[in-house]
Amino acid sequence: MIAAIIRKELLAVLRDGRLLALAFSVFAVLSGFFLAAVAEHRQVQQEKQAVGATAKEQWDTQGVKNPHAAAHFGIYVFKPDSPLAAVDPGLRQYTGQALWLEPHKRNGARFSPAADQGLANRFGQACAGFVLVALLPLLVIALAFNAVTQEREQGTLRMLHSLGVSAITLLLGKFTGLLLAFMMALLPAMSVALIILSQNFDLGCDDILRLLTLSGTFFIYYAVFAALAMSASIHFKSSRLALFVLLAFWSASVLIAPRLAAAAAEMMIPTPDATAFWAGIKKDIQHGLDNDGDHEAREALFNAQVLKQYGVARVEDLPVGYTALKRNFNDGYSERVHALHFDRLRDAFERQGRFIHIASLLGPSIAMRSVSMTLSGMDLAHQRHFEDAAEQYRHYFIGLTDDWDRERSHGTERGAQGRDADWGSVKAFSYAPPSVGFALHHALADLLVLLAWLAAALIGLLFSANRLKP
Amino acid sequence: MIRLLQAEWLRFIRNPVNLWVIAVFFALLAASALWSGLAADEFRGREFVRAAAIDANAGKFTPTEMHDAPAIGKGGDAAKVADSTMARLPALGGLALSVRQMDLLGAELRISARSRYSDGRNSDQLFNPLLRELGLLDFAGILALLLPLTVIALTYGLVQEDRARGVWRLVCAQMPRPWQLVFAALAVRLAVVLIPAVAASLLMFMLDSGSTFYAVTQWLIFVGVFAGVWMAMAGLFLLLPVSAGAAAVGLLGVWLVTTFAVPAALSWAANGRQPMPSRLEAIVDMRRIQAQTSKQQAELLSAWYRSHPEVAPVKEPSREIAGLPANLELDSKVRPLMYRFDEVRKAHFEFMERWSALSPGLAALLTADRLAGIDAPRYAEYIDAANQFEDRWRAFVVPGIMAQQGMPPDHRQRPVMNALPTAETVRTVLLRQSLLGILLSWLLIMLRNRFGRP
Repeated sequence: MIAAIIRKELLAVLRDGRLLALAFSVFAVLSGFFLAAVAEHRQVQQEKQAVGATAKEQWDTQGVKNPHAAAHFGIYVFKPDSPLAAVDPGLRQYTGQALWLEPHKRNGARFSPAADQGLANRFGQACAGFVLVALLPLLVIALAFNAVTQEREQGTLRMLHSLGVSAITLLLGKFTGLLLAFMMALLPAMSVALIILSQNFDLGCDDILRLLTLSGTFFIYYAVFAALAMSASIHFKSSRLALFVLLAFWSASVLIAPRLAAAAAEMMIPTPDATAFWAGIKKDIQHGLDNDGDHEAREALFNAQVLKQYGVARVEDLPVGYTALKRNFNDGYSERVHALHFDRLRDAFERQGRFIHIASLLGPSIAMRSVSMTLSGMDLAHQRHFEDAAEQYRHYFIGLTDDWDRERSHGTERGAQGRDADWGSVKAFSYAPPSVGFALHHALADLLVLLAWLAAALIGLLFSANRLKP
Repeated sequence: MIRLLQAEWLRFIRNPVNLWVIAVFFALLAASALWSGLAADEFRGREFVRAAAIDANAGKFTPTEMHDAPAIGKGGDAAKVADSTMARLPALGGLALSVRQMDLLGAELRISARSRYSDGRNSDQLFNPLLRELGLLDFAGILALLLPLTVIALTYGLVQEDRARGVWRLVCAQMPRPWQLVFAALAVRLAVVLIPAVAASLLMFMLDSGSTFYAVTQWLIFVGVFAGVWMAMAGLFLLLPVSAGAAAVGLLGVWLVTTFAVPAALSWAANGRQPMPSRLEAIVDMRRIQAQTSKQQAELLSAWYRSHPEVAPVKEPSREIAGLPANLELDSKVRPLMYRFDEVRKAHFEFMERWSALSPGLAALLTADRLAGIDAPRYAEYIDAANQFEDRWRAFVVPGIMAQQGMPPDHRQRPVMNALPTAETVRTVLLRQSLLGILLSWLLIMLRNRFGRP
């Protein structure tokens, strides 16, 4: 019986013409956005590679100079985005495009594209991810809002009842048919997207796993909307009211909940002011953490230790460069302070992200957006992973310049010099993005929220079966 | 007509769904107004404290710290030069409308003898990218999103549903001009949508201590026009010979296109006319200039002393003094490179203003940014003023640094930044939205007799 209902539902949607209109509009919108996104993604990646290579070449050819002066020229590194960023660019608009690594201090990524693009993305990014998360649920609603009310209004529900079709069988059949119809509308666009992705990028096993998980999650997301739409269609007597309520739910989930959540998260867990943040780092370096003593006390201890280690009475008599030694010691402490403050800041961002989950009670869209950007490697966790790798690289190359400076000078004399061969021996920054396991770990809470929504929507649908009366 | 209005008012308030829609609309707007008003007031408080601190330090000079190395102790290898002050972009009376966008701008700039572009921390703000991506409760954005949806909900099936039930046939039989009934219903709904929008706007401006009468009036005029445009659009959709659901979905489609697609398309078109330069390429250019000036440091130092014969050259200059002319040279080359971004942003903003009639939602944001004083043209003007101020500042402090004499003793001669205009005009956007509203209303009036068809 259920197969017959599914077939009938599919045929009804096909004959209605809505499916064709939907399939065509979804195909046009998604393919258009996707093509534009892929082109932009390729351009950004090529530009990052080219600029990264030029910046490293500039570093390599600094000529003869003091190693520490060379270190101050710094190195720029860029986060390589996953191919899935073409589907969902996630936080790309708001995270900086480049990270400048230099001695003594740790920087945040600079030049967020949003600062230059201004108004265009204020209501939402024009990308395939926005269409998938925000607009396609509207199409599910358009297909499903009158699935039962129409049967009731036309009197066919009474006929089905008289045939002895159980309410649950009817609902499950309609629900499955509706989802199949929607997937049929989505399939051409998704196939084209897959072809474009595979032709433009070397998709590794990790990318394919991420893509499959993302597709499965989107299926769950649309199933939630379809089940809710069916329930509304049963619950409300007229198509009008059902459509009204579903649109209100869509607005709450897609437009209102994210904004309310973001505002509430910022109020409950305030982000520190930039001036205060940098001043806090400076203060802790100067005055020391816990019982470490202030800068001068730490330095005095270090001096005594160095003199004892080298068996000399004065720093002037040291066989190695004292300035580089002292700088390396101070920078080591500074790295510890920076790590502490940066971790605190990013933990606060994570807490804000967790707080936002509360707003998932208003709709599943926040959770879906989070999962989408996490699996695309464009969320805060991936950004943090990249920044930490970049920080390790900063320690590596600054340490190297300090070594040269220390070994090529002695006492308080500062005549150490390096050459292009030295600068060229610094390994280029090579970043290995984390695996799909990392992404799944960070998306776990959002995945659970989505599953909870699905369970609630399906239970709601089954309970609605009791109200299915002609 | 008064009786019709009374009748429509009764019909409106007796429908509980309408009351729910208005209540939710007002609740959300009020929440946004509260948040925006308080955030703007807090921002102004911080601005006031910082401005006071700058004034208090008028006689002192703050060292330009380029890194977090500890302060120079007894064994320090170079004396830090105290040579900096701050420039701030003053917010305008409508700040609450777009308060969080201020975070994306470098509103506070360090003015010093060093190039601010070679320090990654001076102009960048701290914010959680996730919160920005989710969007915040900035009042203008919320109003632009919710008001059209409220109009769609309140005008749903006004004519089509009555027609489907056969009621409209009766109306046409009893009234010589059925359009009067539709116009009365639209007028009632316009008033009902405007009341919470205006009330929430006033609440927001009241909470912001820096709001001005000019910003309030300009914004309220815009809200009136904006609501009028959507009501006229809804009226035109009532004319369509389709079901109520289809008309509502059509109007929803218009909202989606004008709110999400048109701004993206306009941005794309603006970028096609005047492409935004690449920040990444700018990095390479900046480093090339840095490398050049670093190599020419000694020559630039002697050249500076040659061009300033009144300053005696220092025999063993510190690292700060030896590098200062190279820094000035670097900045003179990097500044135009970076100013291009502000110029292009300005051109894009003005392009969008010219085409704002295509997207009422975008028009709301453009108006809000202008009234808040964070629009791209004003920001470009601010950067230009800050650059000029920095030039005068350097002319004031650099000779002292280069002569190793410290700062000029009379701080009353310190240069001050030229003030920016205290109000921004929103005439372009208002005019275009008004023209759109007039055009849609005219079309509705011209087609009014079609409401007479049963």
